[in-house]
Amino acid sequence: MTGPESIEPPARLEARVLGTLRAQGLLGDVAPRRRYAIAPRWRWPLAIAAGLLLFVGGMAVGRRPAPGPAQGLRQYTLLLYEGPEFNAGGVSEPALVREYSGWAASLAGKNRLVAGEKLDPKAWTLGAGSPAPAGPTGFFVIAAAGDDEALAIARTCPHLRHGGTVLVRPIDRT
Amino acid sequence: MNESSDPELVRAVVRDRDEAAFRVLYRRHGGRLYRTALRLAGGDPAEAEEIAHDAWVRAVARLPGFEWRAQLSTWLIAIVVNCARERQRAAAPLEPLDTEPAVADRALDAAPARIDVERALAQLPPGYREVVVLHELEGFTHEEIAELLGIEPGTSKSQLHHARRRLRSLIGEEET
Repeated sequence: MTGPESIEPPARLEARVLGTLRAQGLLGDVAPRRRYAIAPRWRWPLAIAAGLLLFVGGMAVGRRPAPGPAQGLRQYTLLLYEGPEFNAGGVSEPALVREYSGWAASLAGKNRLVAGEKLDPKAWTLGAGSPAPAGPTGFFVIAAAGDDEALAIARTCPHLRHGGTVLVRPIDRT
Repeated sequence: MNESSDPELVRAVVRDRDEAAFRVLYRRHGGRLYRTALRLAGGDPAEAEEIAHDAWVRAVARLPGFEWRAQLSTWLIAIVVNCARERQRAAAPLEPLDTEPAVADRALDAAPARIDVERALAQLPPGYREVVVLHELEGFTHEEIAELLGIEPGTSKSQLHHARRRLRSLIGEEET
């Protein structure tokens, strides 16, 4: 019996596997690189955001299509903020990364995850208006059937369990 | 790094989470792993991709405990088989290995006018398909299959006998 030995795995599979392995901390660096002095309050969000970025990077090249308006879903941003009370429980960085990545994976499995990125603490404020408050440390873009579902999803975000704040805002495509 | 041995690459992945080392391992073993997944999935590329993805992730997670009692490729195939089985169990209970599964009869009834070996393989029940893939296509001995699947070597031989008979039936019916 002979088989189709010429068949090769789809190219996207390698990228998808790599993305998952990075997100789970099995490959690559998931801890923040401390090339520069980083204020303690930024270490947690950087570690978490790095995990999110790696996870979503993997999902982005995966085979699941990102949900969008064609599927009747609206997109929302979940902006993640943290203050001095964030992670008062002292959960380890790898544990936080796994928790956030797992949450993102569960959303992806329901076609509710569109994107997630870390935000560099570096920021510039332009314009003559009032000084901007401290910005978000990361964000997700999710898809939901409406405001109620978006809020329901946001309430499950692990960032809230660790004392962070999540600002939910619909994306305006008008 | 492309010339590095499997043990060297595995050490780099385990110790340093070295992505370049993993990429070499992936490209060295990924084709066989995927093709095995594809056959175990009955030729379904989407299912094969899920199996292969799960298998690679599980393999890397378990690499620190890999003791080199088997070749890395053999160990990877064992993980593929287990991932395929778990997905099949999640979708529907496996048929008992020593019975003539009803699903095969349904598949026969629905057989198309022309069929090739790969398509006939896809119509075998999972228990038969595993043994055919591992023995006929991957070259494992019955003893190795027994260890991989957690069955007796005699059961592997019996399954192969039944599977071959089923394959001949599937192919023969289409040729007449």
